[in-house]
Amino acid sequence: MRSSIASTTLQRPRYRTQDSFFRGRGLLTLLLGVALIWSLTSVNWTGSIVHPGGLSAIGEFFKAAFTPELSGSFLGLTLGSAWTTVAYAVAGICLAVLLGFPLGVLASGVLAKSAGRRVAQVAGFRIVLGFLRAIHELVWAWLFVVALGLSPMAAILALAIPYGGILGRIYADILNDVPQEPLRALRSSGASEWKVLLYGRLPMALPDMLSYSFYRFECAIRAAAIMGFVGIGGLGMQIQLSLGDLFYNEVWTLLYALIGLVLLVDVWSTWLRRSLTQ
Amino acid sequence: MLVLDRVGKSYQGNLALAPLSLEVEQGERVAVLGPSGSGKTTLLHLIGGVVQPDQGTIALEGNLLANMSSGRELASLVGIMHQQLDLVPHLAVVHNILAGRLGHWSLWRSLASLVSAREKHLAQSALERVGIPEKLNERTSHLSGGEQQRVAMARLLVQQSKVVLADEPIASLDPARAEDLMQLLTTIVSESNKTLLASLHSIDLTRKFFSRAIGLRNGELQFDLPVDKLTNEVLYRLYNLTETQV
Ligand SMILES: Nc1ncnc2c1ncn2[C@@H]1O[C@H](COP(=O)(O)OP(=O)(O)O)[C@@H](O)[C@H]1O
Ligand SMILES: [Mg+2]
Repeated sequence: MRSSIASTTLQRPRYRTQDSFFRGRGLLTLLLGVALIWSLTSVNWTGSIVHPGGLSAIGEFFKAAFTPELSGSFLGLTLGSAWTTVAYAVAGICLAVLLGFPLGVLASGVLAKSAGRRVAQVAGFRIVLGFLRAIHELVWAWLFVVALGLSPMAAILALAIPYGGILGRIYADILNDVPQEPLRALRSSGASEWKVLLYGRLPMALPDMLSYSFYRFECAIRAAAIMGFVGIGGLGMQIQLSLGDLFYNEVWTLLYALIGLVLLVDVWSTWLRRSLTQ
Repeated sequence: MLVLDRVGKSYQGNLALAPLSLEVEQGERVAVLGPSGSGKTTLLHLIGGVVQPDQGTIALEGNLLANMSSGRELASLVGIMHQQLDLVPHLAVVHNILAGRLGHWSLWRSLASLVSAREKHLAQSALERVGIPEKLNERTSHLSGGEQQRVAMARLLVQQSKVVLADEPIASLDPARAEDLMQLLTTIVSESNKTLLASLHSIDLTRKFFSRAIGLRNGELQFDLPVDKLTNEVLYRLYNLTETQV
């Protein structure tokens, strides 16, 4: 028994051994606690949160939830804009995967030839990924609308860039965190790091990468819908138009369509993940 | 064939293996005995190039391990079966076996093989050799521990290294299966006149399947004997037992 413990520790980082307050979680917890208290005190609590007329408007809005607009023509419009939103989200997430995958592999440093190069490579590509996701998709959308006009490409790129950054970051972590023993065995049979990636890291990482990508696809649908607010079309644009006209029944029809889409993706991804991991 | 010259290893100042010299001829079957923590895994990992020695040199067929430029060259000389199962659970058995070919294959061939298995006949016959031919296309995670052990052996078979290292290959098996597996392992290595070093805890199986035994205790070499010289007295001393405890 003892020997098997010894051999598994072989792969563990060494710095965990002296777990003092400052190295461990104690300091972090304290810092987060202080940050929380500070942020609570800096909110202005004295003004009323809702202005008086707003309360009745909110009541109206929620009453409309029970009577969504179900006329044939509006359902057709809803379906059409749902389709547009899904199309943006699919194109955006596909592009994000294409962008995030190579960046993630590079940022994981698993292909680096030496320890020195690994550090430089990991740092460099993590900065790139950080830059991509530091800017929110709505800001990208606004930028691309300015540059490209109200074209679908603006919506797709606005999604693909920050989502590529997020996916790349997560892919890198997942690729680093796979069990090390199978990788060691592959190296023992003469595999280069590229082959270790193909035969060890990727097969072991794929289920997690896939399920995270699907989770991001859900987020992309919401984001694509919201992006409609800058005028690019889809559910968001219709929601904004109906809201502007105070047609709350229509808003709810559109919201239900959005909820349905997200649930659908959820079911699909659960099913796909199960068939992958069995 | 295999020459260790004063090879030693410590982990963070803790001695795992005191400087040790050893010569093993081709075709020898050497059992590595010793209590847990005595340095068996460390010794096999050093020979397999999994960890680097702090001191001393290891030579395989006259080539210094430290001078070998590629994992590929090392893999053609020595293959290792680790103490824990180390297959990729998500891959089909066939790919886990063919992973033993990665040192022989180009990157493109390796990639193509994941789509449509290359040299499948090698995998098939290796799997037949270890007695589970019907599992070729099964997902590896669906196999029992004993079956996975056999797949790991099949992988070692297709790697075709000259030295085979096995770290407690039978530790997790019941006695009947343990003997079967040991039988299989020793048959396979002696058929192609490979050299075998295996750590194990069974004296009976050592006597039955090995030609030579070395004993480690606290990282020190205690004995290095042909198995017919392996007396109970030597073993009691190795495991620090009194006669009544056996
Ligand atoms: N990676 C490691 N880090 C620290 N100590 C280790 C490591 N591997 C082995 N050791 C220590 O070296 C000694 C020998 O271990 P090992 O070779 O695994 O023994 P065995 O395989 O005979 O049980 C033990 O004291 C063990 O704790
Ligand atoms: Mg061991």
